[in-house]
Amino acid sequence: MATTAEASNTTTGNTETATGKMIKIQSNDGQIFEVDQGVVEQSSTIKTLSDLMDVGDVPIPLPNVKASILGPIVDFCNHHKNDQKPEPIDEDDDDDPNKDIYEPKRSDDICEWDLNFIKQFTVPEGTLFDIIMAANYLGIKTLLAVGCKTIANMVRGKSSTEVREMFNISYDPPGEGINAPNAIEGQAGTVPTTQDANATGPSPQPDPMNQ
Amino acid sequence: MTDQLLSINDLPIELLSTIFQFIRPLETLLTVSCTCRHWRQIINSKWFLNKYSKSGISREQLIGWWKFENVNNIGFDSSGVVGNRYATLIGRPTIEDCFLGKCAVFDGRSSIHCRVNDKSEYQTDVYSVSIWFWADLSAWSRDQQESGWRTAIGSWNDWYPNNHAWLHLGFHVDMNISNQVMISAAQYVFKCQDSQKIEPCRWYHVVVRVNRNRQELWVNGQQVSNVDMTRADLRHEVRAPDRQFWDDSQWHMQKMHLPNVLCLGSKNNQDHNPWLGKIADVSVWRRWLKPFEIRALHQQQTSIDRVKLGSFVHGE
Repeated sequence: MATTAEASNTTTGNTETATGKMIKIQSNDGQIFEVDQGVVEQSSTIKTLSDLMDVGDVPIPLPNVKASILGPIVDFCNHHKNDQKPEPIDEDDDDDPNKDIYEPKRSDDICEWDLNFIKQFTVPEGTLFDIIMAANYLGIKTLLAVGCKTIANMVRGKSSTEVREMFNISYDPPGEGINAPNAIEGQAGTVPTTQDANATGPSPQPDPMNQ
Repeated sequence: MTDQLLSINDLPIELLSTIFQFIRPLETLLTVSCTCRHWRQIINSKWFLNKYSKSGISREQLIGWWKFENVNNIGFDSSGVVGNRYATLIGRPTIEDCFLGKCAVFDGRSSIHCRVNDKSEYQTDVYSVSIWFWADLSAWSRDQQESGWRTAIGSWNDWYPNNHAWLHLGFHVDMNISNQVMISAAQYVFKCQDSQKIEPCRWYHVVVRVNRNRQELWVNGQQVSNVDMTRADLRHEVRAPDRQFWDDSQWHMQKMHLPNVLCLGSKNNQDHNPWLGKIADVSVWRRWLKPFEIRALHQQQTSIDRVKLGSFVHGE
């Protein structure tokens, strides 16, 4: 039987508040959360469903998210609902000649609130992966980035053995044909001392620039 | 989501890829790729590596980058270190199209000077320079003053007590593509030069990697020369009046010169050895470019922001 969560900033059965229309969402274990437009706007999935379905007072079912994960996600979105919206980025736009701003994928820019937020999710309990899966399913890019950056930060500076231990991955020797490319492996040092005259990597292609 | 305990390899490939995109630099990613076969397959795929290097070569320690895209601001440095404020145009360098996009054209009376003596990023004896250059046939006409030297990018004010002979990259009509570095107040020059003849009206990709102990010259993706600068006996020139400053036993303590003015299209801010031809996609780094970065730049015949690592390692 569905219950309305207390931690959801709810009103009592109303669908209008000072922050606009309230929408109900339902976890896969039946818990209902009421969220306002500020939260809905952060989730492309909930926004699409609420636009498509004239939901009224009927909760939107979210069959891929359990309440123990959906609750914190609502908290996350409530905390960030007044954040400035980032410029939309077309991630597949590789060829835009005007796109000249170098934006490396940083993982050291997680804000303090988010760092504390993500600490409640762990690898041994699998909840860190639950939150990433849920953020991906719900289309909450900021939360997905926080989760992915957290894992990236966890592996940084670790040996492959340590990474395997951390994530409980069994040793699985690389198979034939999928070794790291010789063209880059073993040459990653900053200042190599000597060079192999028999250069690795592909041979230069024909020379269109001088034809 | 079910109640089953998730582990990292339960994440779909697109999510693992997203995580791996945040693992930088490349060396760390390569270590991570050894974790298991599944990760290795994802990371070594052409699709992933191209996405990972979407912005081209890692711009870590990039301290100068001239793309010559704006006709009204030819000297603009896209790295942001020198920027525009410090660039002075001499003569009339122009811009034209080339296979990389745009290039600057120097007529032998033009150059671009960037003052870098107050830029801490440039006060380093570890650096790389990558440049594409093309020399006009007229560059081979020997000028008494220039003695056959043509400098595409230089920072060379060597007269004692100015110890600013940091870079001298170009070619000599008899001695081919060459770079020079000076070490010690006694002004000992170390030359690093190609044995192959440079041809007029051809594009060359040239990279020099320098530190106090070693200098390397790469032409068209291959290392063509190197010099061990720990050995004073390998010096190429001594300015006799300054020998009083030379102490044979102290060579390891002698310092490499540092730059004051970086000049595109000439040797120095007196416009010696002017370039006659084109230069494109000039980048200066406070690190050594890695061999695969140099090879990829040449193999793909592209600029530093358009190198596709995945295509390179997969031989395309």
